[in-house]
Amino acid sequence: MNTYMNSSDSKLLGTAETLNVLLEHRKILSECIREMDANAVNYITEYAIFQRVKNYTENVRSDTRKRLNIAFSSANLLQSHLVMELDNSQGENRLYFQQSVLAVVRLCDVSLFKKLTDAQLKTHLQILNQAHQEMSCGEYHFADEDDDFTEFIDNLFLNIGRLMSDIRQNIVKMQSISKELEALTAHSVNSQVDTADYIKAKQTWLNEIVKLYERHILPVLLFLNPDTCYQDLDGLHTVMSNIHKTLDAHNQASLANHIQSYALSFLNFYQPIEATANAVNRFIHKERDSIKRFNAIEHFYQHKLLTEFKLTQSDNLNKKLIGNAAILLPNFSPSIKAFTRPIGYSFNDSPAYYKNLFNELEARTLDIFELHDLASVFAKANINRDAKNRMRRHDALVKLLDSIHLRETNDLLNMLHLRLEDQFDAYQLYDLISCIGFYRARDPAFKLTTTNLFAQAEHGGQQFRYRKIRCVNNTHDVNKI
Amino acid sequence: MAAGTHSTSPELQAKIGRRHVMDALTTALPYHAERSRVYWQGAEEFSERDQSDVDVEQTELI
Repeated sequence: MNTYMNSSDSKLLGTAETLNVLLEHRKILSECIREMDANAVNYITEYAIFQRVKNYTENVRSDTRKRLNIAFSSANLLQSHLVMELDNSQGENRLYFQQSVLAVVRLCDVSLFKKLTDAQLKTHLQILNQAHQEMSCGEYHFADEDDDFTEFIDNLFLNIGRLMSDIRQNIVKMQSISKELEALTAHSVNSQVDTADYIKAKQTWLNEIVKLYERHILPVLLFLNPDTCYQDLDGLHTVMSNIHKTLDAHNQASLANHIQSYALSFLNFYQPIEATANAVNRFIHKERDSIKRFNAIEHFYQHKLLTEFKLTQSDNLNKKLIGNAAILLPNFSPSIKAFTRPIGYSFNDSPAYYKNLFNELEARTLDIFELHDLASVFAKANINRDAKNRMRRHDALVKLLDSIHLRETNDLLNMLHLRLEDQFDAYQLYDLISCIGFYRARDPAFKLTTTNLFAQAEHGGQQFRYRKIRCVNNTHDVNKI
Repeated sequence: MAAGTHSTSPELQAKIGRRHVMDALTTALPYHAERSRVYWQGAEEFSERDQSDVDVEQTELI
């Protein structure tokens, strides 16, 4: 029966010890439960456990492996009462675990929390409604000595507690939703995918998210909403307050207060779930929008632009540019994205522009005739002779420099400064800069070398601190070389 | 501050006051091995004569 029991010895572990091993290596059982949930059954096959244990123990120490093999053997699980029943009538060995064991493992792994579906919520609500009916039809005496009443109350609180823990687990699950969204989108973001795959992947996330939102978040939200009414049942808060009132009326104040506090806790859950729901809702709308946009662009490219482009690849040499037929056809782009473009000056050759211009001219001419004053319409004329004067001055300077003979010196500017001061009437210090440029371009017989030594010249209240320029006659230098 | 070519008017250079030459070469000989750009810090300056020596020193420091 036990395929892997043969290798190990037949020693068995106690309940506490087995549970300890199960929880310590709960990854094995978590995966089994996930598979069980996926198949929508309430048993785990022996083979599934065997395979998981085998995979898990591949890289562990040998004594741990031995311990795991013993703990997870069917005989051990059955003997330690963790498994209720072993059914081998269907051809495979089915292990029916204790619900509490599964619950403990689920508690350790957030992703195993069962989602509260609409049907489950309805069951909870039916139980509460039924309890209220039983209370109000006078079956119980509302006395602590009455065993029926105590049992009923215990059962009621058990149900409320279960509902509470279910909803709390759901909230934890919803709060980890961002992680799930990230996992969903990670694949298509990380890898290089082509457009078709991208669209497909995007559609898949959207479907999954919409399902999550509509099947799990919305029902819980509706269930917790104090204003919700169902067709033949009272809403959660109505039932709770009714039970509270009935208990209060029968002098069970402490029980009534308990119920009241539970009702308040349920009310508290409403807000975090609503926040999550809003976030998911926004995400869905955004995704839908972007898919629509993407489809529009893709459609335009595939069906309009590409067909136009293929026309240019024919043998006809007259047709080498893409026509504008594709651009005129679709009407999608204006609503996609509107952004303001800069408005240019309206200098152009349109009839409207000329009409405007001539109207303005005509109006101004009429103004002249009425006012008899040309000066008010046209600005005053002005002649600026500065530029011409500068040109004359420069010409005079060049003429003078042409007639000056250079000699070898350590400070060319000082020499020029002294000469110009005497010979040039309109001399300014800055003319020295013009001189260097002039000689550099004009006189190849002398070699001008700028040094890093400073000297100073003064003229007309101004000082010029300049670098000395050495002037060497290079005709014999060339001969030397 | 202004940047100009060699055709920038000397009058304007005098108005600005400080003149740095950025494109000087270490030798005038073309294709010479040592031909490379050189820039000397410290501007050639135009200034008013009545400026005190302290001011000149300050501008030197700048």
